[in-house]
Amino acid sequence: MYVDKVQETVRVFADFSGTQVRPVAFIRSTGRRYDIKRVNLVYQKRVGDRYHWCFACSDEANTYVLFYDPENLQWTLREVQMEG
Amino acid sequence: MLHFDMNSYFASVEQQANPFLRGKPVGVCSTMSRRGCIIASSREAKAFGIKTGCRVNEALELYPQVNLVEVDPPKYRSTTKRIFSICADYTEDIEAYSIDEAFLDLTGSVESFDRALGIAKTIQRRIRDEVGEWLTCSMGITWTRWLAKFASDTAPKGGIVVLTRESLFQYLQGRDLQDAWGIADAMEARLNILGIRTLDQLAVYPVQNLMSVMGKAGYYLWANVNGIELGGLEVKRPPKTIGHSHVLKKRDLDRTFHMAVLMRLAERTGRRLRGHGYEAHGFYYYVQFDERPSCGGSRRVHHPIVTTNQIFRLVWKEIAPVVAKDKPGMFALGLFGLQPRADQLSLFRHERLSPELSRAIDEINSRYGEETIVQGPLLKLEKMHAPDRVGFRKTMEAEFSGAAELQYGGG
Repeated sequence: MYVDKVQETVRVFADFSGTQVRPVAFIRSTGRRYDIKRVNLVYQKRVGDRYHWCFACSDEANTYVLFYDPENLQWTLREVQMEG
Repeated sequence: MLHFDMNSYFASVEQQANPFLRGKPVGVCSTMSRRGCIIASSREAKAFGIKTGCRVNEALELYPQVNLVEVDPPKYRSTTKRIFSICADYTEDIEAYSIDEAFLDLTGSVESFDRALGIAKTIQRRIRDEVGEWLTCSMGITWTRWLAKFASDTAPKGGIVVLTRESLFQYLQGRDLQDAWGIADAMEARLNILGIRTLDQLAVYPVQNLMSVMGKAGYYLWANVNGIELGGLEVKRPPKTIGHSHVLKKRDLDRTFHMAVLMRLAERTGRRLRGHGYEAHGFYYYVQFDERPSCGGSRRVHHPIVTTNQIFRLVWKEIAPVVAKDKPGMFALGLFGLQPRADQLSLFRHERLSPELSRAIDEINSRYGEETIVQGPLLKLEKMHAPDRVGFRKTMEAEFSGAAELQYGGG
């Protein structure tokens, strides 16, 4: 398993249904679109007096960790875990 | 009383977050260095002999393809919070025993063990559905706190054991003494001398004889095994000591590096001390070396310790001479003699960094993130040295009340 720690602002298509938000796909700065097959785990990380929402997601091949800052509505790609 | 214990918790959370790790041996390490320690291993890793406490290099020797993941405390704390918030839907009386286990007192909420079993199954299902399908827990249901823990410890992974007054003795029959909570090698040896080799033998042993040999401990043991409640849920007690330790990632005589690591440990300790609203009246320190015996000690102080700078200076004064000669491998420091802060002014001392300034820095760091403002030695220290650590028993600060605001979810 190869883990790439990144800090890249990404554009995210999110499903805001009911009281939940779920990322559906994201586009990296290269313009490539990644469709999320599953959101595996949702957790929070405290940053000062605020919390970022973290979404551990995966597609057919890799796992991604997306951070959502509810203060400025910004999504960041933080981690890419690749198999092999 | 219901006790639940998450199975291979940290490793399961990592497998939940990354489905490609599922079904594979996973070790969660304190640090990714070869000297780092495995703090949790998946059930697949356990099958290869990789257990909690094992060194990273030992784990790699046992199974070179093991997937090693660095510990991610916020991930586990947040997941625990979600699990405990599910439990809070069934009772307000919850004792968070550690980051991955808790006692739920259902007395008054349910009228029978069958109903408690129903709640247990519902909690297991909700953890799977709402938190993650890879997360399983073992549960024990019975009428005392001790027996509930014993039942869940002996339950199969992901299973539930219900102990009634009628089934208790049968359940104890032939069980090893060490299956019981609180009995380890030394206690087992003492019981063996009395001819007690299994838990059912302990339950029927004359309690007076046990007390004459072991004192109060003998009674507590006998009462626990016989289902006599001794305490119920433990209330949260204030800490007696606060401290931090760190295994160094590099071994050398670099004074600046040693000072920086100690300052980070002092800052973490100081933050917690001040967060509790305490001052300390003593400190302890410990240094481990690879090539010579470790050293440590403790001192009481007259002037109360409040600031990070105070902690650092007191400890550094003790440690500096020894780390100048030999390469240290591990630092530990802590505070004792904790009391609520009195803010007594001193006539004779002038602190270089006043408690008020410390408080202001704490407020800024709480608002904008840890180490927004730092002491000088920390400026060039990378985050990988003495990072955030996951708290287990006493330092576990997962709050589960008010966790219902969790609205963002996957699926």
